[in-house]
Amino acid sequence: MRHCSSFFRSIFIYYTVLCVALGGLPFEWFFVQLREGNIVDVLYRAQKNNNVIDIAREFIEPKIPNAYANGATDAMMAYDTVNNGTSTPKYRLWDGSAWWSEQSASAFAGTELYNMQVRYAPTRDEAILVAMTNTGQIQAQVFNGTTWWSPTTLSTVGDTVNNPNAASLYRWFDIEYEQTSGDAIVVVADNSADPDYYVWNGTSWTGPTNIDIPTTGRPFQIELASRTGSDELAFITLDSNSDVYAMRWTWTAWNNMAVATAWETTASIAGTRKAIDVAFETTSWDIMFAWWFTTVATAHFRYRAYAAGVLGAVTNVTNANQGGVVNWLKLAPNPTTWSDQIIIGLQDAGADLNTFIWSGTAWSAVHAEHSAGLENAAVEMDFDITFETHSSNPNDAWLLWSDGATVSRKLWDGGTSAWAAATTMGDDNAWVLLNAHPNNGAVLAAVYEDDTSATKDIREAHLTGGSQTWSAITQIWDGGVRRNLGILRMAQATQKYNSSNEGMLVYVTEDSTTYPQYRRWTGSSWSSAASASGTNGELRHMVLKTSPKRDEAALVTLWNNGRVEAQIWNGTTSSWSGTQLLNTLNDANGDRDLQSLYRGFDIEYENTSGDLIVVTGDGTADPNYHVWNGTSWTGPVDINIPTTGRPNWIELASKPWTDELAMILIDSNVDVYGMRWTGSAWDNMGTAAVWDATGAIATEKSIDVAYETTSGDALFMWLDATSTDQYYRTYSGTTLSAATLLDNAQAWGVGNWMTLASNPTSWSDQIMFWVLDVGSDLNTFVWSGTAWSAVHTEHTAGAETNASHAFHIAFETHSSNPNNAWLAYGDGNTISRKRWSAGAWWAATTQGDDTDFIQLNAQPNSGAFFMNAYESSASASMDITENRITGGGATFGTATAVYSGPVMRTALPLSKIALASERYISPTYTQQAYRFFNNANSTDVGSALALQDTGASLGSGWAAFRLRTLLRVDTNSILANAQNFKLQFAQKSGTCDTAFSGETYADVTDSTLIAYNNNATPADGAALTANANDPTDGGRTIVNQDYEELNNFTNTEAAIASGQDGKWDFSLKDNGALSNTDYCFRIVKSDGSLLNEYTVIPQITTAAGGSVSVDIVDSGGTPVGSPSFAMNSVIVTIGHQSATGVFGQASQKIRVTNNSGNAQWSLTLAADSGPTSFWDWTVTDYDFNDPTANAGDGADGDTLGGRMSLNPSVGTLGWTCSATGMTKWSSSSFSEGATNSITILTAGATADTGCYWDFTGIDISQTIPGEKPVGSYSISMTLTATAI
Amino acid sequence: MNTHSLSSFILRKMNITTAGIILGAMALSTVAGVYASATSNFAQTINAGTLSVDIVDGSYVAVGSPSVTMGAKTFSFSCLSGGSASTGTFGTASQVIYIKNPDAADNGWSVSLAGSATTAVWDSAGTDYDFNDAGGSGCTDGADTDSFGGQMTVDPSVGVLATGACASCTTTSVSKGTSAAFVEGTTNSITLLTGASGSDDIGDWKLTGVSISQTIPAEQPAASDYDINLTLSVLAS
Repeated sequence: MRHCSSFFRSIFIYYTVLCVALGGLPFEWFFVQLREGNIVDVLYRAQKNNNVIDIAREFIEPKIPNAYANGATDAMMAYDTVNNGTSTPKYRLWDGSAWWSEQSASAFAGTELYNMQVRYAPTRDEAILVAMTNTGQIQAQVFNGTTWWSPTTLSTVGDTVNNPNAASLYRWFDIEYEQTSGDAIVVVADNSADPDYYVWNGTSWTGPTNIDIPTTGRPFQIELASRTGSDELAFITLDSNSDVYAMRWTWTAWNNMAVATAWETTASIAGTRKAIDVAFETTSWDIMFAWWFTTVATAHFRYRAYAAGVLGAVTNVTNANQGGVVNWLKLAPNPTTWSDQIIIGLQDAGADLNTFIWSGTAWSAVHAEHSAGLENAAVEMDFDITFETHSSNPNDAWLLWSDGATVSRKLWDGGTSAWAAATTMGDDNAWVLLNAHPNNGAVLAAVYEDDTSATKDIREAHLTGGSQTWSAITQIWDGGVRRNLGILRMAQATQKYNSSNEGMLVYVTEDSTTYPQYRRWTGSSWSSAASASGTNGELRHMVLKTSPKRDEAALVTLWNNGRVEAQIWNGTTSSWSGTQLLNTLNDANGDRDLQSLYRGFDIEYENTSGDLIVVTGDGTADPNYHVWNGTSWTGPVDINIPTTGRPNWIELASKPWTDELAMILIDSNVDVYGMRWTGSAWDNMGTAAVWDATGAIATEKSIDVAYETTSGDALFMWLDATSTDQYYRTYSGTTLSAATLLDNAQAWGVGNWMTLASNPTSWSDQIMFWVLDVGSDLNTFVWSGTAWSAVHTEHTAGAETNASHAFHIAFETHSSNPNNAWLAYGDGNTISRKRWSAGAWWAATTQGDDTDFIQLNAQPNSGAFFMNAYESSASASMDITENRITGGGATFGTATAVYSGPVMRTALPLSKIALASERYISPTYTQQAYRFFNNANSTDVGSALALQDTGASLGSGWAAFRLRTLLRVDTNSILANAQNFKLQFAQKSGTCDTAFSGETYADVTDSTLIAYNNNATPADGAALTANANDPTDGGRTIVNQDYEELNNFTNTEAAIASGQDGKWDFSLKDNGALSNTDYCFRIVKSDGSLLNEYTVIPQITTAAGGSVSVDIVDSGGTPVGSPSFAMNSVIVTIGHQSATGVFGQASQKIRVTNNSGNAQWSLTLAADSGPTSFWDWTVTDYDFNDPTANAGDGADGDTLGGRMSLNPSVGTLGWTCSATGMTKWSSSSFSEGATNSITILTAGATADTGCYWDFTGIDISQTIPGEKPVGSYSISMTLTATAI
Repeated sequence: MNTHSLSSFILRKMNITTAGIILGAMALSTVAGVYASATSNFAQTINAGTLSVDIVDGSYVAVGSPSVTMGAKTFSFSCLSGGSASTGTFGTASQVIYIKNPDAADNGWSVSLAGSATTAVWDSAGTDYDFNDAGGSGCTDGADTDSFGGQMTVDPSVGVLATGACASCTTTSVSKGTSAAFVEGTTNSITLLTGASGSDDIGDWKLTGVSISQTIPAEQPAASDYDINLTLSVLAS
């Protein structure tokens, strides 16, 4: 369970502690301090003075994360703090740019945590925190992305069974996730020589299961490592006899690598320090095991490599700089593709820090000693190492260590293979932790200051955006810190999982020529086929692209009537828009059918704005462009180009992380030209003339353009009329290179078709190029980013056809297969598939039948790799087939039909299939900060009611107030009006906690107990006016949004970039809420789903001294503006009569709310104007309280007859209060002077308070004197609640 | 802002104010007091009733099967007319002609008597005779559609008019009709009572003693089962 981490709540926790600890001091002193907000200082003094708190210790998980193409930016740091009274660890989440505020995980057993490890799941939004408690229990708790589950005890260990406390100092456990299955493996000691392991499958734990190892001491230290793209793990342990042993987890069993005896039996530190480690090489996946050795002259450390299925011999590495035996050891693998580097860090008995670098085959010489004066030699590990993961800094690494006075930082420059000079930060320090985020390259450092430091804090510093200048070191926990026992109080991990893994396939079939068919890839399978929007005609070409900024796809189609039409897929509603006609194509003779054979259009999304750009011919030499902004289309707008024919083929590419696009086209005169879209205009890159007037062919796609992934340079490419010639130009952002020849000596004739495919792997600028010539030869080249490779040996000289696009190439995106690509082509009989891996093409495998069109696509997040084929009319079944590789495999499955034919119009240069993967990653929202203000009749607010993130109290009942709240937007930016939210409130139960435990939240309306307040001047949804006292969120940019008087709300004012906060202003009021009662607020999405995170829950306290209120409300509880009650109509009678009615109906209920502290009250009904009132009409009247028989006039003050009677006893009570103590009164009649009011309802001493009753169904009768003429008679009656 | 909220706001504000004043007073007197109140407008609509005429008994209870018995006559070879005609009284103490105007006919009304149809006859198992044939002063069959003679004469003017249960009503502007005989196609109904516009808008009246005379053709066979249905009706002016 997570708890509210608001500052306000913290105050009260600490306040309680202070009252206990400093009971002899004047109460008022603390109160004043608290009111002044000087909580930290007060707390600190309290700890110092009373020895309430231990000295702190820390640790951060040092595991190097695996590389991942895209995905979440979260990371987590968990730590055990002083003074929380229990073993409840604190945690903070990293959102890509900053650490969030502190929150609490679930409580572990015991009162102190000794060692902690946290890992994020690769396949779920989940993390697991494992900790050793001071009671010897090893427990695990699961974080599901929102809340923590209660811990599960995995084991209990100790020096002796009766003394677990001391032995808990060793790290008897470790945890790693299998990277493909997503199962977590936890290895724990169990007081025997053999450890156990548990498996967490996302739902439940299985285990313990014994791991049979040959060592005989108890495993004091355990280390695991996981292999990217695999379920393989590696395990090494150091036991109480100083023996070392290691194994492999082969995802179903533990494997001893053919060595069944202990690896090391001569050690002497008895496992009290973690002098072991294990790591996988990034490229080879070989495993490096390393451990200390007792005789330093023989070896400072020893290692074994497990390579190609063979465990190598134990090998010694000496160290001329050593200062004694190794106490702490760390392996840090280089995550850069193609590297097998590992840095080893060694902290020895002389407090020396040394490093070596493993090349993949051998260790370097030891580097000059980094430090001969670490903070400690043996107490704790005083250093950490991590390689960077930012694409700007490949092969760079950071080494941080505690040098006795500050934290020293050194950069390993992978380019020059040299360590830079050290810089320093912070104070006297104990533990240092480093972690690099695999997705955004942030480097996160956490330091746990020593108990001898000045401030005794936990602090953090970080690198973001590829910068190698550290942020200022910032306080995470303002001490004190626990005593330094050399144990791990802190853990850190990065999140790799991302949920965006969908895709879409669109294709045309013979029997649905006017309705493109589509299927959705759900992450594991293709959905059944359905129809997109259609039109009249035969579909010739289509292009499908997915938005990077919205859950949206765009499908643009070209029909044989020349119409270029667009339709938009709304991923939220899972529906297609209608079609939008963009342009109509025709050739020089006005022939639309012929012109539509060529794809004279293309589409791309801008990567930052999310706008869709469509460039399409319009029947002239100049194409047009259209813009779709997520809401509406603009265009067409002319693009002025120098070519004079009709643009037969247009290709666009979008530059990563920008709004830039590149365009190349070839016209009907085989003229080639290219341009660049800057995000707002078309730019000719300094060249206004046709690039090549002798392009290869106008009737097939002989052009393409692609961006290099890392540099962002554009590569324009086209085929020339000369048989062996291809030309290219590059654009660096400032300079367009000259057209340069790339000769293909293997060409059999003029090129007909070509494609470029960018390598999406970070740090790569590779682009693959294939060309099919008129002789049906298929050749490929590879662009390195600066030069072309030689042409590869011809893949085939007998391709299926050169009439259609029966070929394709694409790079993989699965993390197991970096830099791999696939080439697929019709080979005359089947489809040949070739894999590009490790710089070479594999032998072809085949599938299917004769093929007319092939499309490949790689899902950027899941790495699923899709191939769809449109079989030709020469095939046996003429199907449309799909095949795929998932899970990072290297082989395709069996192709299956997604459409069982027959196909249509083959052997034409048409686009029969469009395939795209979802790129959009849902933004994450966090309710991050708030502040209460007094109301103002303005879009500005009044004075602040309390400090930021602090609950406030209202000064009076029914008071209006304002709540300004910040919502963090992370993971992805949101465009304006991107997400509808609503505000909810709940009466507090326990605390206004982020798990919402005990609260029942309801939407705030204009009539709820806490209601929206309707100020006279500002309109709902108006732009808020910023106030100097508005809440802030560290250094994050705040984007002001709206003033709100009603749900729902959205970011109407402006887009919010990832890493920024949106701010909304809610106009609220106490609308009859319970007195002196706390209410909590939260924002949810308009569909009721929760935000991703809640770090604060605003709390308002209503004024004390409430009362009983009575009102007439409608069925929804809204007060009725002008309550009225109609008796059943009667007709004129000769002689008196009686009319009846039922007072209190569903649409006008009598609501009594008791917010007072007094349970006893009564509710009466009386004439509003007193006992002399009467039923009034303009012509004549009659009485309501004359007891004279037959509605005669009696001795009262008037001359009217008539009497009203009430029977509340037949009424119905509905409630939020119970019926306990309630009495519905029996029938009674008004009698002037005697019964001027009638009691309807009374609440006795046992009745509820703080709730309301709804009373309906009171029978009313009224005698009416005879001969009362036609008319509308009325009398105003008043319900009165009175204290008893 | 929205107007709905404004109105409810005003209402509640009023209640709060009221409660506040009372609470203030309560605090001074340290006795229990009013917390809050809410006002509702009770409404009663009285609609007009239906103008009606009926035969009621002395308690204004409708008579289930009202009837008038004419004086018995002996077979005669000559027509029984004039002083020989059969006579009866319509409206007696136990079968009162009762008219009620519950604000339904403020411009007046009239009550009339008519046969159930213009072709109605005094019917028996044997031969019938007419009630509206003026032929031979009612003694012979005239030019009407049937082949019977006979004619009924009604004289309300001799009747007695009085107010009914209404204590405040009068007979002002209420007048009895004059004597008239039914003639098929010409006098199909005979007005018994008329309430002019000045009559009470709400009132009830009783009429008794209306004289009925019936001419019986000559040689009308003896029978004890001659009867005819006549209908009273009231019409607003």
